[in-house]
Amino acid sequence: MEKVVEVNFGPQHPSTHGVLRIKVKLDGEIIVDAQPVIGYLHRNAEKLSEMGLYPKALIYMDRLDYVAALNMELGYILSVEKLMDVETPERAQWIRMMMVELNRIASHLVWLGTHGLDMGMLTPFFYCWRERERVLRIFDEITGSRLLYNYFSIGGVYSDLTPKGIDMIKEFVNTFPDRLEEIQSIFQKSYIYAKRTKGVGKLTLDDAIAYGVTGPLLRASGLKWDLRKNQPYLFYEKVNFDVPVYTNGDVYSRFLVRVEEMRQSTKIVKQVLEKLPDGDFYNKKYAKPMLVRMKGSGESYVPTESPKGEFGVYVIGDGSTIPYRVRIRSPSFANLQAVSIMLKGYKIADLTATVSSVDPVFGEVDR
Amino acid sequence: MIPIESESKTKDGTPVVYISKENLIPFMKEKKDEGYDMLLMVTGVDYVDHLEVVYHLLSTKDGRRLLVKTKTDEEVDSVTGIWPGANWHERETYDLVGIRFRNHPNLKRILLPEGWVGHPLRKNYPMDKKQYVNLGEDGEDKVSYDPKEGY
Amino acid sequence: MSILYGILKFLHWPLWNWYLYGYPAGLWIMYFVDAIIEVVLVFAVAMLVVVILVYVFRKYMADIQNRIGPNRLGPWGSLQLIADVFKLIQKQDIIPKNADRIAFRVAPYIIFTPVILGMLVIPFGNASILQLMVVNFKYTLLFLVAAMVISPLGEVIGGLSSHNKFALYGALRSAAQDIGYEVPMMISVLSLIILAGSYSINDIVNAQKHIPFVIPEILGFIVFFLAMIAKQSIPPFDLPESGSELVSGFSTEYSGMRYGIIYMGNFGFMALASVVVATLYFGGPVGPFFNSVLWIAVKSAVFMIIFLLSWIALGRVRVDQFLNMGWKYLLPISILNLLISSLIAIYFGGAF
Repeated sequence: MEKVVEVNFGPQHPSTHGVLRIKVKLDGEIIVDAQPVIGYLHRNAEKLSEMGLYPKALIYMDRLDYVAALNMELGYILSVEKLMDVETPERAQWIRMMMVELNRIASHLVWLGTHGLDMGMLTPFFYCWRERERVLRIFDEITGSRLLYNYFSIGGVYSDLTPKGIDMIKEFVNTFPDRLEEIQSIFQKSYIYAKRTKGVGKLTLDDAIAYGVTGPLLRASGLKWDLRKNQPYLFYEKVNFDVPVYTNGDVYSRFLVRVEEMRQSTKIVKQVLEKLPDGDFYNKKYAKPMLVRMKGSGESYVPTESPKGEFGVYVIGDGSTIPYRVRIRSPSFANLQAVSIMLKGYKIADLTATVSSVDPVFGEVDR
Repeated sequence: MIPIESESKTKDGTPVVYISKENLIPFMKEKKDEGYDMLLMVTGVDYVDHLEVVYHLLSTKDGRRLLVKTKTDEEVDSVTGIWPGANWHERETYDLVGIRFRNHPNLKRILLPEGWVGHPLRKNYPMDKKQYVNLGEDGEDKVSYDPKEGY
Repeated sequence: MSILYGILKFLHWPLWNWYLYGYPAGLWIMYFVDAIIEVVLVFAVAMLVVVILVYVFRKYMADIQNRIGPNRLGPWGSLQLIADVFKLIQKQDIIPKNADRIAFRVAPYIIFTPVILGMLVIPFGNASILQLMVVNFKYTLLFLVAAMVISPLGEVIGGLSSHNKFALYGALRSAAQDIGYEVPMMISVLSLIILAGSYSINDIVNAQKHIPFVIPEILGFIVFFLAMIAKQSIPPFDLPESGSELVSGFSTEYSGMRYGIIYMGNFGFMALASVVVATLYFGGPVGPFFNSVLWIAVKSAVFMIIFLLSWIALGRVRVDQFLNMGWKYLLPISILNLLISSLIAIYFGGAF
């Protein structure tokens, strides 16, 4: 009596990381087909950006991937700066690099905590949040807010680093690797975790490339592709860091990739602190009143490496102060497509593990 | 060699190639064989007298990027046969800009609910008329101009 | 206990006279009143134990997770559970439109009652002289096992009657889990019976005067312990109520005080399970120098802490790996244990 039942993992669900709806066709406990349905958080940031000036569209970029907001701002700012031929002073670029790496650590900590929660482990959630709290306090000190920053601007950053902020960053960088060891060992020494994640949600390299998957998923499937190394932007060619690559393509490899990335980000922040030059933190030719009158023409797309994958904003300007078309290339959108092949043939219990390893953030998927 | 209509460059140095609608599929196949194995994004742009579709290609072997553009009025061929990842991107372009893709396996709206009227990213989309989304009787979304319809 | 006996004798005074005059009805009424008082007493003590257990759980879990836990109501937050009960009582009682009304209402009580039934047959006090045991007859062990079987049945009924696909999946998982771990548990209990030579828990406790049963039956202890965790879906085996997988498993549609009863049943079963393990395998009230209720309290407290730790620190197993463990590993181990106990019994010439 093989009957295929269609179950709806609805938009309100404690473990789908946001508003995701998956229509799952089940045969007993085996998943036959899984179709994600998205669009519950659609605010059409692209149309909103066309209705205001270039600096105004920046705030919509913040709200895309709200746990890693500075990466979103960076993607937009780099494209717009290329569009308008604006030069950014060196100190601003180094500050941007440091902030972006700190935000990458915060984003991966959110992922790690909620991933443990999906596996049934209640304790690592609190440890990760404790570490993330320290990062958010650093951001509060330097940029003025904890989650949505509006800190980058065309031609630099809005405010300089304070001495207290630099001390907080130094203290964080010195103590974080030990805490990360402790949190990682909770997962790695757990037999239950290993049995639930090894071999689950496999994505082969050919499938990943065919579906446009980038970021930790691609690196866990075997391809050493990191935009910070392959096509460097800002000053990534001047710092030393490694790119973790594993070949299994399952949930466990993605976990290892992200934890290792956190470590490498700490290394980068340490080096940036040492190499930080003096100078202006914004391009003095474009003081704030000037920004609103800047015109852009042509098109530009600068890809950056956000915690979820390749993020970039394709901006088309028609020579006026208002952008003509702003198109956001969001990594979680493409990664979520691959979920339907990652789930075929696995069981329901693997569904939460797989979806949480993709790490979708729905502000970015639905824009 | 497929004839290219014109070429240019973006502000950050990526080459841009304009292709006519009929040559699109052979050109894409050729590019895939050349090594552009990842399709990053499919964009639709509304220039008021015509529409344009922009494809972002990437080669993971040596990092080359390419932008491919076609002009159209309504319809373009779908490239899901070459890169399966174009599925959702093309659905989104249909949803928001209104370009139909021939031979697409499942061309339905993806971000907006099924009954939505109009394509928001067009320049002539009426911004003052509001559409309301409620819950229909079958459990799916129900879109209408009247806020009181549905649950 | 002699105080209670005195009180009961005082209460029975008019009935005692009636019995002396040769009316057997007086005796029956005496037994009836006795039974009611003792059951109510056990119920009160069990509830007290559950309340303390929940408080310890919340504070302990908070400490491991680097936070404080309840600390506003009462000294060190001890009245938090009472406040939670009041909050749950005043909530609106929501029953889904197409649910089976009678089964939906009855199911939480089916989950909760075996806790009390189990507590009635366990000897809490001096096992040989003066028994703090409510019921004592020849087959108390079978009664205990039968009572513990009823509990997962309540989960299945609750899930099936809820008219909800997630609840259905939770109920089916509960049924599968229950069947899978029932058999190893019964076989390990069987080996206990062989060693002790009787079906009565009192005799089992007495037989452990020389050596606690955990030593000859270490395998049986492991099997029984795991089966106990599995039977009332205590994390890490809480698949029927998987908090993050199927919304809330079989208890999805339960809100308000019904959910409160299920929750208390969970903790009550945890308390019952630790008391049962402490009694059957570690001797219960029997101790090295003296027998008293203190020993069983200490032993069951140790097991409660072990259950709590496994809840806090471990993740959740996947359902097929979990049933795998039950059928492929626990069942052969329990049969092996049975063999060992039989050999021991033959070697020592009969039971202990």
